[in-house]
Amino acid sequence: MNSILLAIIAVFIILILYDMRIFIRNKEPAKVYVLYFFLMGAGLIVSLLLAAGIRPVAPSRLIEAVFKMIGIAK
Amino acid sequence: MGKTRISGLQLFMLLSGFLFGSTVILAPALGAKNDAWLAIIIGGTGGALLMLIYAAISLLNPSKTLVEILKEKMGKVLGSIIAVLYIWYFIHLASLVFRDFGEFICTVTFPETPMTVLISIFALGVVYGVNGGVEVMGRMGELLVPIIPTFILIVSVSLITVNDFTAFLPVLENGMGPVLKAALSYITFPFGETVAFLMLFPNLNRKEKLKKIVFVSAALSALISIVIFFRDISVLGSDLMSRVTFVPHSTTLLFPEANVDPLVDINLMIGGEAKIGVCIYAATKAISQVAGIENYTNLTRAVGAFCVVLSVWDFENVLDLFSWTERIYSYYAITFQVIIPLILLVLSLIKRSKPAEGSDADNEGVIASK
Amino acid sequence: MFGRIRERYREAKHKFANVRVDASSYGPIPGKIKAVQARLDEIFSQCNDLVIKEISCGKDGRIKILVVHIEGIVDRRLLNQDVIHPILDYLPSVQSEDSSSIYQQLSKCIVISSDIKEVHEMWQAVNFIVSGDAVIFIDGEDRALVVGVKSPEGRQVEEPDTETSIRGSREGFVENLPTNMVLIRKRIKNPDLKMEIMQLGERTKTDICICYIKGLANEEIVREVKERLGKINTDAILDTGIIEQYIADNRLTLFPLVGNSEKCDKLAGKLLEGRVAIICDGTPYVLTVPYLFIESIQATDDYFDHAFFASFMRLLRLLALLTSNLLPALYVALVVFHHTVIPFKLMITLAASQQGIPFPPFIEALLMIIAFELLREAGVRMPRPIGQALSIVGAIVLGEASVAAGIASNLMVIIVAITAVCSFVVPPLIRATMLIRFVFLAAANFLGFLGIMVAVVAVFTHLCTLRSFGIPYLAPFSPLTAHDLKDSLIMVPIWAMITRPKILRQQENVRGVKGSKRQEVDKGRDSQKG
Repeated sequence: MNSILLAIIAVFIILILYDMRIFIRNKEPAKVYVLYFFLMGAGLIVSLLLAAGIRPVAPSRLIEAVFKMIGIAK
Repeated sequence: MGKTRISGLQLFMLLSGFLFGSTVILAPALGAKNDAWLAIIIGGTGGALLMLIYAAISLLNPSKTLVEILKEKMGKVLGSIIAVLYIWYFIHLASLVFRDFGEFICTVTFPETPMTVLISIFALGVVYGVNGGVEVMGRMGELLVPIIPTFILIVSVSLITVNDFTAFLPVLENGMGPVLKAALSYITFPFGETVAFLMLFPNLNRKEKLKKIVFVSAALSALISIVIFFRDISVLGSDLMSRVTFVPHSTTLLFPEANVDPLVDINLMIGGEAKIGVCIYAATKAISQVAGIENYTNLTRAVGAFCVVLSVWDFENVLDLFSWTERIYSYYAITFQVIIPLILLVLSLIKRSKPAEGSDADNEGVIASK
Repeated sequence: MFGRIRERYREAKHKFANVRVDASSYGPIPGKIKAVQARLDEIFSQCNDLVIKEISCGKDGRIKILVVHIEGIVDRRLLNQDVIHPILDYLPSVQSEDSSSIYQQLSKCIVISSDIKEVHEMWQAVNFIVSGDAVIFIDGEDRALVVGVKSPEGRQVEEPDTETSIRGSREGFVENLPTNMVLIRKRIKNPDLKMEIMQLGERTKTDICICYIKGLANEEIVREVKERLGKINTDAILDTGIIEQYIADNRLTLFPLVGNSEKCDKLAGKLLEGRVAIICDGTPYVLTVPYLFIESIQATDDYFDHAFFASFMRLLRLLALLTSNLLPALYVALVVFHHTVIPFKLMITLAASQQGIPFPPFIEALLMIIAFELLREAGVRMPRPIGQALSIVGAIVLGEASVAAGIASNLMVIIVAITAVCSFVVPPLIRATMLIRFVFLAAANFLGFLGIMVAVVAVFTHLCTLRSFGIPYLAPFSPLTAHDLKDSLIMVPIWAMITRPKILRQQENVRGVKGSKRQEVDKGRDSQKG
């Protein structure tokens, strides 16, 4: 369990460092940072949760629920 | 970033690779069993029409990507909201394809490797390609996509000895109902998914070719699907076909003498690369256009990572995946593939837009011809 | 924190950028001969090979002339016969005091040479002295005469070692720039063959010649070449390899983006296709620009042979290229991951050969490949007489003994041998192959066929992003220019090649076919759309 968590965190950190290097060198505007960390953060949180065994509600479930509500799907 | 151009042939290859993508792994129009070929023909026609609608939208708004069209026709606020929905759709699409391929390779070739690892490696390759830009993706398509039909034909021809040509009879045993339903699902997957190309069409160097390219690649894809179908049903029989998870793979297992399925499977991944590449490109480009960022390559890795995570998160197992796809996907997709584009088409016809800055003046004739 | 590091880096760069040898500090040529002598002694102090000959002339020997040259670089006989001798013959009879008339006489009638120049600045004179010319200073004149008496000594024109050809000329370039220029001129007798000389390297002042055929070569590319060469700001240019690394589009790639050649006919062929050549004094390797991937598969002999044979050879070379890169990786992938793909009979042999090997296949392959690379490098570096012994040691030790000792399996030795042989079939890509092989091997070990495929796609993507001077590296395959395919993997016979490579975007797109009707037809065609 622990090793998987560590692996996930390691991978994300490598990706983030690599991208930070590029962002800082090119002096990207703040928008880029915001979006980037939003996406990476979401990914990181979800993957950590998955590794821990908790399955948060999947988007597909939500979409299914929406369509069931509208009454199209069964 | 300046606009990079791709040639007609490269776009054609990308489109074809996209359409081959998932269909060479999962048999299309399975719901109709023996009559799937009818469903493919009907669906193929519908799909071609749908793609022509996309082409028309692109031609009516020359040199504008989907996001730009949305913002223009529907006003900045509403357009941006719908663009964000599309971004979500593209990301979701990419992760669905990741999951499809991941399940495929995991089940068939590498049973002992965790799927996350496989998908991540795959994603690395795709993201590297997307980062190179449309031009690089076009060139890759030009070089690699022709491999897919070649392999399919080789396998099909070698399997002629094992065939039972009458297996697709009787025709229309269950009536037209399942056929139409299957045709509908064939339209949404894969034809409707080419809505992602609306982010790419502006990069074509000569706009007049667009309609022809779109039509020919749709026709080619439908044709190859029919070939695959007849091959599969003649080799496997309709009963087996409806039970097996990955139909064309099972067919390849029956290749005489040599055990070539790993080789073939790997080559089919090229289609997956094309599809996912285009989806991630569309998503990242859309994000960069909605948020006003110059260089989309900064976000490809983040989007890619998120897609990988989403693909693992979304479904618990392959049965979940298939059942969701069968039931919900068509309705979900129609919103993005049909409803909104039709609205856009109508709006485009009503208010013709001027060409964007930097495009060539020969687009005037194109607008008039539609 | 990064800001500070960046500051320091910038400072250091600035400091070293100003260590330029300041040529203009030499000043103008002094009028008095004594001053000239003093200046020369100062500039060339401790240069014992500088020879200054003083000749007196004029009334009472009042006007002195200095003939300055560097011993050895100058052709002694030429100098004596054409310069010193006539001067000594004539000058004693001069009676005038006027130094400028002496100067006129010397330059117009006395010195026998077709190459006489005039200089006004000291640094120019010094430049010519160190380049091998003789400079004549006259008392009272602030200009000097430069006489070209360079010695053309050097290696003889002979067959290049690294590029042999079965059919075709054996002439290879030498280290002397004028000789190389002559070798090209002899083959292309056309005033449109432009040769522009410039000097590179602050301290070495190496002569570089840019060579192209005006009207055939793309003007943009010529301009780009000159611009990039002009930007080179370094001490020493010793070889075209150094120039290559400075002017290449992408410096981080393993693949060569600038071609080179030692053979004259090959270079002439490339010039006629519209490429630009860069010749450097002191090295027989001439650069050609732009360089496309397909050129590594082409060879000059292809054009002299029948087209079918040449096409077959090209496909064979491509196959060799693929094999040398992928074979070890495929083997490892098969053995480690995909046992089911191996045919049954071979499986038994494989299993038997794998028995008793202490390493996993990946390590085994790695060891054998590294051993082979060591052998190869040693073979290049060591002096000739020992070479024989080395090849025997290599063959016996690496081949037989390692199998017998159980370090490697028979099959692995065969595979590495085939790989090595194949890698020599495509010489320009040997270096790239060396490294990429390991990438594929590692990918195969990690994820079998999927790993190989992702690696192949990654390499492909990389190739797709490469450009050589603006031309996409993988032309003519992508973007697909149908016209240029006639000389890519498949070759059509020479009489059918009526258009030049379109991708280089020539201004004059049609080759003149000798006296055939095609010339009339093609002249009208405007094939400018590239």
